Amino acid sequence: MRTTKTRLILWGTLLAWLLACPAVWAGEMVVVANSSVPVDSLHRATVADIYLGNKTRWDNGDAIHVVMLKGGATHERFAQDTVGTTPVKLKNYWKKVVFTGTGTPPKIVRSEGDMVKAVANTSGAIGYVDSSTAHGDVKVIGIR
Amino acid sequence: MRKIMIMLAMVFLLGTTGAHAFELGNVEIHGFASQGYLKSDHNDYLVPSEEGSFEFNEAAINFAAPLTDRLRFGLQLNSLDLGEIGNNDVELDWAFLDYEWKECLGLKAGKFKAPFGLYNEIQDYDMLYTWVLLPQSVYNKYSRESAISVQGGGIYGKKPLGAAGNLRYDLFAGTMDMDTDGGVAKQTARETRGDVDSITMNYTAGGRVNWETPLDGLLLSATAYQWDIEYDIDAQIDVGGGTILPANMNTELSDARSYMLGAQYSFGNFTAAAEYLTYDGDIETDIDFPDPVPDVTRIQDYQPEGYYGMISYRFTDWFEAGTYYSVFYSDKDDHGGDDQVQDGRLDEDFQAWQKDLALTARFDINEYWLVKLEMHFMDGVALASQTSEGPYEEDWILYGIKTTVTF
Repeated sequence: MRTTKTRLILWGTLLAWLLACPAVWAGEMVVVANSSVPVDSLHRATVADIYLGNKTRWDNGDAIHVVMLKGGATHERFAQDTVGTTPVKLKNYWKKVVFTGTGTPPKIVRSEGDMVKAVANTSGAIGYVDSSTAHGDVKVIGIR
Repeated sequence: MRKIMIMLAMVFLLGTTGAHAFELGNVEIHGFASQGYLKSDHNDYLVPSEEGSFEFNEAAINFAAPLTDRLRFGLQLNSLDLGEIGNNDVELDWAFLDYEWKECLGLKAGKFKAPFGLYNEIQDYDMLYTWVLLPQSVYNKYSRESAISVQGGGIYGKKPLGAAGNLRYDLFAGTMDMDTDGGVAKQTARETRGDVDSITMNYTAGGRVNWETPLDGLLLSATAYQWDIEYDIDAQIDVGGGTILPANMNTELSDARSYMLGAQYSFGNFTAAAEYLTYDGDIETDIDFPDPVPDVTRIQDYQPEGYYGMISYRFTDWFEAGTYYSVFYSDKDDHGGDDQVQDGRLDEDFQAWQKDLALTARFDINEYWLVKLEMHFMDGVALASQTSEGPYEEDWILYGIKTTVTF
């Protein structure tokens, strides 16, 4: 009886933890790009520079088109782990660009499927998705 | 009152229905509306705050589109009310062509936001900072027209420095759109008991360098400006013995300079910043009295100084809190005000400084709608006396509330 109760508590605790932490069961995040993008891998810091407006052109001079998720676990992990900031600060950076007219804001998409479509259809585009999202139409960029 | 009701209705509707950016083909449309309320226990500041005032709002809408891969055009219309200035007239906030030749060199021409310190370009955009009022020692809202937008040309760029971080620079030359109904003119009119016939910024030129240092999250900023501003005033001059004479006054602040140094540290949900601003120039005033009173020329130093330190922390997605301490002196060589009282520039010594301890709470109701509450413990009225008539109280409290909707 006592063993059953202990098991129930343990399983319940594990279930509650898994439900509370979507990042735990989310897969690996991948950075993706349009097939026209002239690189196969980037330093993490370079991806951060792209998403913070410090790098706006690929090495061949073509414009970088930034695509960003509106929110969600993948976006939060990308902002924190790759860009090194919080989702709120990342959003505010681009709002500043919008309201001062000092750059081209990212295309915002609502789902990871839309992210893949937007990156596949936009020359020079870069984005990110969870690895479990189908991303056959775009190039995966290795992160060094 | 009608304008306030329309603004409030717009804020309410946008905030409750959800608001999104619009796209028309390649043209993106964004906007925001803010409505605030200020109340003080003593002294009117920025608005008739002693009785409490809703004359504190901003709204803007912008349109931007890429013309080619390297050329962009955008414009923003804004409207603001801040007590006796603004009055919700619609004005062009910025409109410029931007050609990004390379990452390290872009050119822009038109009317654009002035690069000045860490926050000048965003001082009208509540959603981008924690506070109801940015530290007024450095970002003086009453004289925003003399700092907010440049009409002219500029170059800008960014340069990766490898292990040393990133560098961004902006250089510009042009002028600024001054208005005889603006805060600078109103302040001058108050000081001279007259009417400002004309106010012209003959030129302004300067630049800013921002360095993202190798220490993650640490940004250092340096700004320098030079400018020349001239006023023609129908003044009433106190010549002593209770005699006040009418006079034509020409005042020029020629080749004045301002310098700003700042640092911002951002780590996760924590942000800290500090800036120091100083001005240096001479005000030359020619006073043309009616005959037979001889004309007079006066030269006086112009050297205000301001600085602040701030910290803020975002506790949850919807709640952020912060505090800052901001200090302004009307003359950096006379912090105590004794000399300014002695030579008649000030009535009370506490008009020489304004020290402001602010506490703020920001609530993001949803992605598009926020509310802020703020309290300022003030010592001195150096900035308040620019915006209102005395008599003044040395110690006072200002309360602020503001709500903003963005799309």
